[in-house]
Amino acid sequence: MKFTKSVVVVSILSKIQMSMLLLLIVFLSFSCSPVNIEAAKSLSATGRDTASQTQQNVLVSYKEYLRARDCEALQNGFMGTTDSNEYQEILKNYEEIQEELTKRSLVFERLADLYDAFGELAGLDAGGQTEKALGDLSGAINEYAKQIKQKPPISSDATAVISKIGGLVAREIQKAKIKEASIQTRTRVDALVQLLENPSVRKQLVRYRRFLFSNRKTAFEILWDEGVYDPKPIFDDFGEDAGLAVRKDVAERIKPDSKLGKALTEVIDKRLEMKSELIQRGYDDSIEALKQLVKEHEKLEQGAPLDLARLRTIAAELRSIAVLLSKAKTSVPISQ
Amino acid sequence: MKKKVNMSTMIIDDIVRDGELTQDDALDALENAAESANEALPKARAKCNTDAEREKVQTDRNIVVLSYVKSEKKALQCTGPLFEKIAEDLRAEAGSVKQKANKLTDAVEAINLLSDLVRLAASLALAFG
Repeated sequence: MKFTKSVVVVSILSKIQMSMLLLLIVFLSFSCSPVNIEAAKSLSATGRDTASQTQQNVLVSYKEYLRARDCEALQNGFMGTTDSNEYQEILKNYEEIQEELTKRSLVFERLADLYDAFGELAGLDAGGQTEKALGDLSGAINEYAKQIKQKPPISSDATAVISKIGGLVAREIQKAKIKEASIQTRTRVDALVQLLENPSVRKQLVRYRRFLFSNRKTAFEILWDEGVYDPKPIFDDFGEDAGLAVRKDVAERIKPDSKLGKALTEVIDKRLEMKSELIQRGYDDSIEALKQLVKEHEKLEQGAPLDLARLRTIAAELRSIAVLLSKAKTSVPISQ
Repeated sequence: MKKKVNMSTMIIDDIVRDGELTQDDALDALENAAESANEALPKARAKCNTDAEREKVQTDRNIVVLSYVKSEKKALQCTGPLFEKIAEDLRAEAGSVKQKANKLTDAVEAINLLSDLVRLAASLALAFG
């Protein structure tokens, strides 16, 4: 019985020594990857945010689609053409275009998923966990030896070395996997950039959004001409610096053909025009953000320090554009 | 309004100069026409005196808009598969990266399992020793 126990301990001891040797060989063969795990974690979070902001600025949102339908209904309802075939056909085509664009939004959702997985890989404490696990294993083996009244096969010094090397190797394996994942992610993001930069693709998306916007503008103008809007907020904006508010009856005092009426129409036109320009800018900034992501992946793979500040600035700008396009005020400045 | 007419004229000028009409040129021209029709609608409506006139104005606008949205839909359907391909590649890559993360965790778990087994062996040795 005692002989068998000794054989087991010796066998475990030799396995540990073998493992140590293997770990050393693997460790040396990896020769320390330059990938910075913390940088990879930050890149995954920024990449996810970029994917989400890009989606909002490149595609037509469901809200935009619903508003397009509402505007069409308003125009045709107002002009008494809701029974016409053309009106029904326009609505049907809006729906089919939206179905097509919804399929495209999958690209950005998948990109966000990829960055989540990348973050999961970078977020693992493979080194620390392996170090602890190996320490626990050595402790368990020594405990076993003690139970069978054998000399502990692994000294505390050896345990520390084994754990340390194991931790380092695990960290290097993790870095190698992060690098591999970064290369693959970069390739995919680059392919998406090329697709979005394709002149036909670019024109299709920008052009359609611009058209939908002109539709909303027309619906607005019909309602404006009907006098359903109160222009007070616009005049309040002018008085804001001086701390003044516009009189309550301002809408009744402005006649459409008066000088002030024409000036007000010009302010509204310029605000709406700016929104139209924002559609193009949102698309261009989205491509710029994705290109910046590609650059940061290259830096990560080479072990160079990342500059995520630029990427975060573009993402913040994309966020402002998306907000401006969905809200009334277009006079809020955007960082250049 | 004035600006739109100039833009449409520029597109037509380009087509005449190049002597060829690409799909993008045609769609640009259609979209410009649809935008112009939208922009002209409120003013045209203001000039209408009867319901019949209003219906005519809106129907004319609808015909132009319908030509554009129908054509744009077909163009979008042509480039759709390119996006679907990238979406599929990204999905596969996300799965592969997740697998990488799982394998790293599996290695640590294997060592932990081995520790548990040795501890179990130690307690058995104590019990039968």
